[in-house]
Amino acid sequence: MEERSQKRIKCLVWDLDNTLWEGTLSEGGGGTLRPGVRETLAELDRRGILLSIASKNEPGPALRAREALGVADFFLCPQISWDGKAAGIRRIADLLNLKLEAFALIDDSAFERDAVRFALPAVSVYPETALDGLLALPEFTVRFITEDSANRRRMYQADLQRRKAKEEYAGGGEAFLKTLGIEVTLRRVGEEDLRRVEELTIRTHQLNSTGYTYSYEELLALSRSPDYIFLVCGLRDRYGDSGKVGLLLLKREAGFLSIELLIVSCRVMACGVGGALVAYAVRLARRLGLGLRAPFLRTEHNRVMYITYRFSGFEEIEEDGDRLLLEYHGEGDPALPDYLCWHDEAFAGDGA
Amino acid sequence: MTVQERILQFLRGKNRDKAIEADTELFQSGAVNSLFALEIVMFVEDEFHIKLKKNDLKIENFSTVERIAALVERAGGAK
Repeated sequence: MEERSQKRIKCLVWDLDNTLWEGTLSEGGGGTLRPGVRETLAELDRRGILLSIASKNEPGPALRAREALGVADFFLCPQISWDGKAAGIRRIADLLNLKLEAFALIDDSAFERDAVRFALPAVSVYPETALDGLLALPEFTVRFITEDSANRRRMYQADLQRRKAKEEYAGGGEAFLKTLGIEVTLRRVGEEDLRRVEELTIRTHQLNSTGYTYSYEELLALSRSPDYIFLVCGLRDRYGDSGKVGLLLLKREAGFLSIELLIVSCRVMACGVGGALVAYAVRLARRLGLGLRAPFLRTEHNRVMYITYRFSGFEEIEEDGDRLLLEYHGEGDPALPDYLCWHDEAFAGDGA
Repeated sequence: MTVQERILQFLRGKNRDKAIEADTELFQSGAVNSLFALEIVMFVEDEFHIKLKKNDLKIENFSTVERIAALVERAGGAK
């Protein structure tokens, strides 16, 4: 296992005039895509990298031009207005619930690139001439293309609909979650899951309890080892299938289970899946008559995970800098959220 | 505004749930929603300029607005 390192772009934001298409829309351009753009869009989409737009233009004509070129479906929440692009990128990050570090802008204007660099130093910036080698850059490269990566755009579209429904819904918190009809499926990791599992360990920073990432071979060995219980969590609701969104890796030790890995995709964080997986692990350990521990690596991003453990009844029993060892000291079986419909296929029949 | 009122205002805005009162159970089902837990912890720290210690981070301290307000006062953020 190794600490994660390489920066990965999760969303590429495009300028329109002279970047996505030839010429300037307000001067009669916008009729043709620049050479290579369509292929690049299709390939990034296939890799699960999201695409959006930040352009200074009249929204109406720009959106129509994008439709006419047959590429409208690729883009999520385009920001077309006369506002600054930094504000547009911020808004996209907020809508997609992604960190700015995961964003890149491609723009032919040196002025716009500098403005974004200045306002949002975390965002990577590329000139339009970078288009040619773009797909080969490591930050746009993924090792595997999984079913979930190819569907990522649709999943995010469903998320945006969910969010809109939430904004329009009058009741709060859990009451809204109840309306979603969320179904969670938990099962043992099989070989067919491993690529997505690897992708989850690499892509998810905010909600990774130990910061460990594993190679494909290590994951395969873990999924087959009798010393480990390795579970993958899928989620769907009335807006669609979110795919595989969580991982729980438990190691059998003498007298206790150890949560070696707890990962939840940021996309579904609001659904309470993280807390539910912790509650599930507690119930499982109790049923096996074992204690439960959780190594934890504190980072600047995963405080939400730490709070989840603490609120779930875990106490710190060891501390070594940012490495902590937590142990469950709560009483009784913790509740699973009643707005989640839980399908346990990992321990079918003897439900944890 | 009192500490309780400021917390109530935040939660009512956040959840659009005007029915939240000082003694409403916030983790009704007993289940922990990670995002909600993070939001309430971060709100308390930012709003009252306190840094919560690890032993403050227990669900019992956050189960109702009354208890959160008591925690804020103990942590010296009531001024």
